[in-house]
Amino acid sequence: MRRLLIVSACAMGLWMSGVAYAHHSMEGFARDKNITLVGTVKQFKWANPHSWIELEVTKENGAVETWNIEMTAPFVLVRAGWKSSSLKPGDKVTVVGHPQKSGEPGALFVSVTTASGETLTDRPPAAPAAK
Amino acid sequence: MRRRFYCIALLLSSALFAKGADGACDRECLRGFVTEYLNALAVHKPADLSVTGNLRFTEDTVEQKLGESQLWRNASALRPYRLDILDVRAGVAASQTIVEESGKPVMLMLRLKISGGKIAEVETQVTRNKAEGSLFKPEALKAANGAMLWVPPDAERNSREEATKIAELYPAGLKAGSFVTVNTPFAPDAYRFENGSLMAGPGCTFMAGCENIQGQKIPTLSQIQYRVAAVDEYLGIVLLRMDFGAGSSRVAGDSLEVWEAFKVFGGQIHAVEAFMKNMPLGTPSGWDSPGAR
Repeated sequence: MRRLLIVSACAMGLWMSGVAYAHHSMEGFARDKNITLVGTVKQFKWANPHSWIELEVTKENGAVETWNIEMTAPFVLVRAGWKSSSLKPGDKVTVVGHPQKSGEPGALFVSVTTASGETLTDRPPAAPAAK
Repeated sequence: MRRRFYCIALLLSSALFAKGADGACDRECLRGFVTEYLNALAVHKPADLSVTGNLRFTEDTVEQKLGESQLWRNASALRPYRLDILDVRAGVAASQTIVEESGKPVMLMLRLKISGGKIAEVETQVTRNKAEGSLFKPEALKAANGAMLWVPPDAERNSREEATKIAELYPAGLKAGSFVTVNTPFAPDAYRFENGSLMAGPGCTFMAGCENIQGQKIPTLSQIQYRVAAVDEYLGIVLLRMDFGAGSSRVAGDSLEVWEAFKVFGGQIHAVEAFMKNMPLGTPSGWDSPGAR
């Protein structure tokens, strides 16, 4: 019994140390999930500190829902091949993003694919990830 | 006995790994201290933290016992926004974050100094409303900006010393009353974001001319003082704690106390994101050394 307690305490200690150092992200977006949205660009705002896309998405019941896709600052987007004119109202696009945890129609930008098949992200090729 | 020894050895090795192979507290180790601190704050359990025997804690420049300050007594939840600035070489973990105090969002600037695997210093600034901050839009701070988290390529990364010198040209400009005069090296699309409001750079509508951060009209703050609080060499962020001094606040007799994070790479400042608060003029931060500039 005593051995069992020691082993359990040991395992619990290891688990807790792992939790302490892994649980550093408490973002409002579910970064471990991707959502794919097919829709029409309502507005593309090239702005600081965040650019964003307003995307109109038609739901299964025919209602149109406006999604806010939060992006990063223009100086990062430029390095990933973006221009302020990369998207225009009316463009048909497919957007991938991390959805808001709250379930509201919003997401953190991952990529966009235009009708011509061009895909843009917010990272230049082989860019290192933040750590 | 042997089993107990193995258990202790395993736990110790786990802790060492978290502190980096060379024994220093690496980025994840520093980030972990911020997480532990915030988690303890949210449940009012300072005893959950590993601290040194001579720990110093200040909230809004006032030294208090850890756990007894206004925020420690009333923190009720953590909000998602959190920008960590991690200085491995100095053992400093800083964070701009939003927490809730009695259910209302407040802006928390946190600086932790880690020594020997424990928290040795805690410096905090809490901005609770527009009267305190002059600007206050916590709703605009949902997640740390990707621009601040963006990792500069090695070829463009400035050394710690270079980045610091570049950031220091910001308070030099405020002292001179002009960023042009001292040639503060802003990138053409650089912006400044304070307490959740865009105050300079492309897209700024706060006042005429604010689209150009370098050329915009600024006050002459001849009494400005600052110290380097942290340098995140990996992300290219220099954090300065500044006391703007006389003429900086809209509140008579007050000074703006500003924690400004500068995104520096390629020899230029690309972004400035700050948490600030009005304090009575001349209030010492509680951490200023004689060498503070």
